[in-house]
Amino acid sequence: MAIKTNVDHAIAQGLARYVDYFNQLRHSHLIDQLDTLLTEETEWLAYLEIRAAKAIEHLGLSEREIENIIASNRGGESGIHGFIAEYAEMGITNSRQAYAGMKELVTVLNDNGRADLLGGQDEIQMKFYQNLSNELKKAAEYPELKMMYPKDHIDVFQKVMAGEKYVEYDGNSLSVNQITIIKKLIENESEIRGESPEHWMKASTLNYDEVQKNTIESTLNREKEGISGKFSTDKQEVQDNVNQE
Amino acid sequence: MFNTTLRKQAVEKLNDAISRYDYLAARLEMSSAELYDLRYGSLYKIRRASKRINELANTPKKYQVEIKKIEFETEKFHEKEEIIKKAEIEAKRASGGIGAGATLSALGVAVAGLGPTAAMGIATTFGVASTGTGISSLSGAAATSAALAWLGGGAVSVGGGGMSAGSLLLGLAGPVGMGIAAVSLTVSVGSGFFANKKNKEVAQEAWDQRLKIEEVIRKFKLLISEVEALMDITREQTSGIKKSRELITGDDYQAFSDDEKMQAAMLVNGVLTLAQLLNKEIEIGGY
Repeated sequence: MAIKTNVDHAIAQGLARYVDYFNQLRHSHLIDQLDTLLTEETEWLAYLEIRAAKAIEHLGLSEREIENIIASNRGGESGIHGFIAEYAEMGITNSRQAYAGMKELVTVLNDNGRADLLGGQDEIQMKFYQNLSNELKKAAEYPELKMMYPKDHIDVFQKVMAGEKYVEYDGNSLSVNQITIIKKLIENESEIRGESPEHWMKASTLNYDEVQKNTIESTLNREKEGISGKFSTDKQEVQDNVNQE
Repeated sequence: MFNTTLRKQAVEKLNDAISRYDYLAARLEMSSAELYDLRYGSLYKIRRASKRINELANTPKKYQVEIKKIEFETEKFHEKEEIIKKAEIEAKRASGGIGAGATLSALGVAVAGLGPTAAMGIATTFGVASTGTGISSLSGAAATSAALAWLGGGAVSVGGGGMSAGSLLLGLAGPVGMGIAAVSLTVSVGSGFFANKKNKEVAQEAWDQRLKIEEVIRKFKLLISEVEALMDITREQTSGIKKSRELITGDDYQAFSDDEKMQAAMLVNGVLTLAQLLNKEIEIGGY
């Protein structure tokens, strides 16, 4: 009887150790996996954070430049938005590039040259006029440069060139005469340059109204919120992916 | 022994995380010092550009206003440096010349223990005084005493170990960082932190600590990203104003063409922006 009890006890102990061994293996595997997931998540988040930090710094730099331009009223009432537009274009484009993990694309050229911006390989002259015809006429003065116009103006130009009869601009529809003038100006300039409008006309990242003295702050804030929003979504995606593994 | 492997493994993972954290703390210290050096170098470029602007005859009056704004920013940077230098000397004197116990008390950062350049780097990059007020917003005696408190307000508890950058900068991670005990010490399986505890308990505690350290690691990675982004922008702006200055060749503003006048205006603008960047501080958000 006593021998049987001892044997049972030994078997029970052996089984307990065996079960413990398997439990330890299981736990050990779990710890390894959790550790790997945590580290991977940290690395992914860091990659996002680097991009977000650079993106925000680009916007911050433009914001400072623009604040100083406004404080000194550079360009006067009629010309200040031109300077604002240059720095806003640089900040926003480079910020988006940085968030996408790519190199800066736009530089404001302060080099006494005729171009305002360097966008990739292109030397660019920026014109932000309220009057569309006057804006287009300026292209003739810079035949060697690409022309950058406000995004909403480029939309109008594209519609005109696509032959649309009803084209809205600034809350009103353009007259047939206005449409004809715009079309003619673009066609003439394209002929002189020997290239299609898509080649010499570049769209800014911003609309005309967004680069004014009284709107630029909210424009840049919106962009910052956009970056923060994307960052939150991407961060959540990283966390969801890790949780699914 | 039940759970021996588990205990050993959890402690090993904790130690690995501590090593990763220590590496990042050293990198943050280095990046901040590098940013400080970069800013210091930019001061020279700002001075040269300001001198060039001042040398121009017949400039508009508003240029003088902007030059004053530039001077204000550079003086602010120098004042911060002076306050920190002075406080560091006094903190070291107070702690018997060692300086290892001098602490940025609000954050638990033992700045004086970091050495002059690193301390200056951390202090000018994060710029938080013990009162929770930015050093830059204080002046005179208040600034000196805040900086003293900052640098000399008692030692961070590091479990009696040697001070690595990891333990010195732990406070920068906010409450989570402050809650981590003895992070600079490599934890051994059978002693110190985990002595006299059951294996399972040790494994659990080691894992809990490991999770906290991961949070701190993430915070540090974020801070490093911000410091490095600020460095990139500062470099970009510095090189921009250098180019801009070199392009101004004449000496009489009135004789400038419209383009040259524009060039001068953009230089003034760029220098002011760079001067403002010198004093930009990175916010340390908590969890």
